[in-house]
Amino acid sequence: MKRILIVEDNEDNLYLMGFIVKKGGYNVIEARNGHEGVKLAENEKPDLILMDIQLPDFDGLETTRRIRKLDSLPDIPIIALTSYAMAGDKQKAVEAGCNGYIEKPINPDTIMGEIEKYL
Amino acid sequence: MGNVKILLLEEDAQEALNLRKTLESNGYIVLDVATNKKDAITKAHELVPDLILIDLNPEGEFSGIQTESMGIVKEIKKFDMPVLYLTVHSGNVEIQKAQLTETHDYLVKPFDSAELKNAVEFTLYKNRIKEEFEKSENFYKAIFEHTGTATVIIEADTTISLANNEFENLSGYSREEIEGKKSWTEFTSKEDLERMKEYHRRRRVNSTSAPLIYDFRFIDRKGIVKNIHLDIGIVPGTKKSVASLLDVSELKRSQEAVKRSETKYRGLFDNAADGIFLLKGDTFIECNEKALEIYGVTRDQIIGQNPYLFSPESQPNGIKSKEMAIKFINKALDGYPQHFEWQYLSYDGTPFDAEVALNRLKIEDEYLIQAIIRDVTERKKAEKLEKENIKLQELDKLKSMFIASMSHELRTPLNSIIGFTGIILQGMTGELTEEQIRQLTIVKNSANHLLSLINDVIDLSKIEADKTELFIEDFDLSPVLVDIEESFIDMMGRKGLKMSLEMPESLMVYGDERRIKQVIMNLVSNAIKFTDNGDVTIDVMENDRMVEVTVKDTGIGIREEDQKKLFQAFSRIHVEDQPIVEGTGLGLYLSQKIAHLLGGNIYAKSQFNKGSEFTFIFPTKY
Repeated sequence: MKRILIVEDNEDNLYLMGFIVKKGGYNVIEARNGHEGVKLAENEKPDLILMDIQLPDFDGLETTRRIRKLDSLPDIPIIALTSYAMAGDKQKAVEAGCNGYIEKPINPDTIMGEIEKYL
Repeated sequence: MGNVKILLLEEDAQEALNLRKTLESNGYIVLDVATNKKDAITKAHELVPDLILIDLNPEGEFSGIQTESMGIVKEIKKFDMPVLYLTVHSGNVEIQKAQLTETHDYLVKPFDSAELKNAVEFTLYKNRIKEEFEKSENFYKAIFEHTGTATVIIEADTTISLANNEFENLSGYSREEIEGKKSWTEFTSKEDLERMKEYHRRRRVNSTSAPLIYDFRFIDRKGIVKNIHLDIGIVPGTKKSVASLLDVSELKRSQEAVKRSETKYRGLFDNAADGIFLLKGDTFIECNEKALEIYGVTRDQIIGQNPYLFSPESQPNGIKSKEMAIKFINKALDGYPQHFEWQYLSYDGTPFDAEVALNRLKIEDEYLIQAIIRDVTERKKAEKLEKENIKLQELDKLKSMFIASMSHELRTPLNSIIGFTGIILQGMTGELTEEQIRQLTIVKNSANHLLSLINDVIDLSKIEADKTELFIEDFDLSPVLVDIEESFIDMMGRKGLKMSLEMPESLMVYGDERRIKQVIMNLVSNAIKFTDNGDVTIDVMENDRMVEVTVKDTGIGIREEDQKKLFQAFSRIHVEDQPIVEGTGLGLYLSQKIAHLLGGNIYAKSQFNKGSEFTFIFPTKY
């Protein structure tokens, strides 16, 4: 079973996304901040990462950049998640190394559709 | 006067003897007799006689007036002594001429003793007169030379007949070049010439009929103009005048410099930004224009007054103004500059705050007080404004921070609400009853409404604070429009409306995709909301580098009186007998603001009960 790493600091959202992803037939790895995200990505080598942009330590963009520097995960798909998009957020996410982009509030169909594009 | 000593020039010994006898009988002393030219010169030189008597013998040594004998006359003249010639005829032109200009005389032979005496006395008299005259002339000449100013004698015909050394210096010409050759008119500037010629003419008629002292412009040899102070006097009994010329160019220049300097400082004084006063004791004796302006007075109303008359009875600290003012003035007079704040009353009784500096000035052995007064009312106002401004800026920062935190904090719980309702409604947690679906749909719609309200408010505050960041990029508008159409398909279907979209296959735009999409979606969503039957059409075209998106509906339309309220914030147009349509009242207001931000606009056309048409235009290149 493919594994998806969700980097999200809000417990409710983490549960919500985890629930949707599990329903979709994936295993879930949870990280609650940027550091944990980078560590788990390196150690667990998931098949895809859902990356919240607003994180308590460094943001999702920085986390993505750090993961992109890891030699062990050259092509891992990373999908950015953010609240009501700000100007240029999509561009910033792409520049940081994200493959896709989902706007919150998330819709179960949208999120699954986006995941299936990469897996 | 002692006995007159005479040197006799006579060749003939007998004649000499006779003459000696005659002279001595008349009381004269005959020093010697010279018998030839050489002898005569030597003796005249050695003996220094009072008179030389010379017998002009046509044949002898002292003869031939026309030829050789003139030699002796010439030589004798060199001694500058009175000479009496004895001659046989009076027609001798040379002698006549000599008689006129020199103190020489002649006696025609034969003559008697009395005639000889008369002739001798007359010759001596002429010499005395000449000497007197020469003395007097030398005296006046010395005065003329040493007047200390350039002085000239002017003839009736304007010729300068005499000029002194100073005039040579002034004019740059030597007196040989001037005297009898130049007219004063040649030294006079064009501007002054006619007037002075007229004076010259009138003065010759009546010496008092023209000014005798005045200034004019003198032109020297090099053409340099000099300011001359002229003083003219008519030489009594003549048509000559004596003119003394004083070069006042330097004086005039320094006077002008003083005047300029005075004007300059007066200018500085009057144009100073602060009021400046001079006080003698506690009385205003002088002030500048600004001072008058500050107090709202005329010069007459303030000069001679005391400063405390322009102050309230007491200063804000409770001390009497007069008491305090005198204390400050006295300290300043003692040499301690004073600097303090003071409350004044202007002439019309308005109090104003000022900063005052008092300094002691010494002017002509007298101590005066210079008071500099700066009206600080405006500054105090500005300081107050500045404080308020800082407060406002802090409030603004607080507002921005509040909004930033709102955007995150308010939306995070909404994400859960919308997300979980979505999951449950999709049956991912199990089967739902009709009732549950209906209620959960209400929850989901309310949450969505709340979310859009929050998003609108955040957008709005950003736009109003000029903090909207646009993200400008190249994109194709056509697929965006397809997206929009698709996102409304459900809503249209539920209301039984038809939608049509007319657009080019591809329309490249350089702009903010998300903002453009936001505006179009707002217009389409409005059209659907206010239309119950018929259709909504979206027409897109490019026209002269502008994109025109027209959204047209067959809805209830807008009454004319309501149309002007369309783009106002929170204006919800309600029509009686119509259900209230959900919305934030911010949609069009925000869309219009965004359109402006993108360099475009939104125009509305509507007919009540027929439908509305909204056109959003924006440039293809931001």
